[in-house]
Amino acid sequence: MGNSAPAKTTSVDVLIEDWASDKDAFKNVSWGKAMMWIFLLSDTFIFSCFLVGYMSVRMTTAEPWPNSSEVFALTIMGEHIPLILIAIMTFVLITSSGTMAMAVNCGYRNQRKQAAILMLVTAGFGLCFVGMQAFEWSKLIEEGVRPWGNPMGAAQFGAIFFMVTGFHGFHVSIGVIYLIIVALKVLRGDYEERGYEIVEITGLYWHFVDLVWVFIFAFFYLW
Amino acid sequence: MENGSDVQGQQQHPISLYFKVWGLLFVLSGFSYAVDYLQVQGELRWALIIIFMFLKSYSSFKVFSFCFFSGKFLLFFISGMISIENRT
Repeated sequence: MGNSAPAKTTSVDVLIEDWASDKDAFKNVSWGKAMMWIFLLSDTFIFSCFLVGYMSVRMTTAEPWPNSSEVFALTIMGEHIPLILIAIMTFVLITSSGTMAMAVNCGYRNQRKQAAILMLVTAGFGLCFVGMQAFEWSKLIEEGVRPWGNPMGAAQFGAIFFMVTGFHGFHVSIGVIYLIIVALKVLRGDYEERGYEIVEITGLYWHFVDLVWVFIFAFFYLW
Repeated sequence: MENGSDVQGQQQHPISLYFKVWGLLFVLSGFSYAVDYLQVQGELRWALIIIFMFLKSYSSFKVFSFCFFSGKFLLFFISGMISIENRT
């Protein structure tokens, strides 16, 4: 790291500097962060494929697409509210994003107890989200929605619904486990010497999962 | 040898900014939901859905995962592509 390189401004300069010095690349980037970004990039491809596949199916089905506003409506205290469960799930996930960001902040200020607690709170919101999704799944299965057909309209609705929300819910579940493991390690003091970058790496994953939900919410539930 | 601990972690936002973005995301999600609740239809519906979606994803990633637009993401992406290309 004894380079006397002047301060770089553009990412292109950094790129050239990184790859043109006949040494190792990614000099100022920790491997953990780099690996997480590469993983997230591959995950982006997967979810893009799902959403593009969904759009092409939706454009080409001859049968009418079920009205998601009605399919996901709930009757709460005699009041018929469209899409309410999905809206609550969205707010839960946004809240968890906020607590995660604060956990990262606490981590970098070396407040390991607060960081761990905030991560556990984030995991709690994640669990809450998965729970509501399980409720939603069982409700739809009860109403006869299957991956190969449903009583409300185009058969592809069920296939897309179970695949996309299932894959996203799986990501959230893994994220909850990941958060709990890292939070417990943080609490135990495993990172006192190495620093708390791990909290940020976990956060990158979590924010990514939240981001995917923003797209699913817009394209699948609202469209 | 030891790296990362001092290089990283410099890009921090004050806590107050988090709360602002948090609130912003809540409001934007509320708007997204309102599009459906008020049964806005047609092109206006699609335009609003897309606008709120991009505003949400932009503000969330800009602030919460701050390296996204700082050039590092671009750096990872391009150099990843280059390494794959170089292999063949």
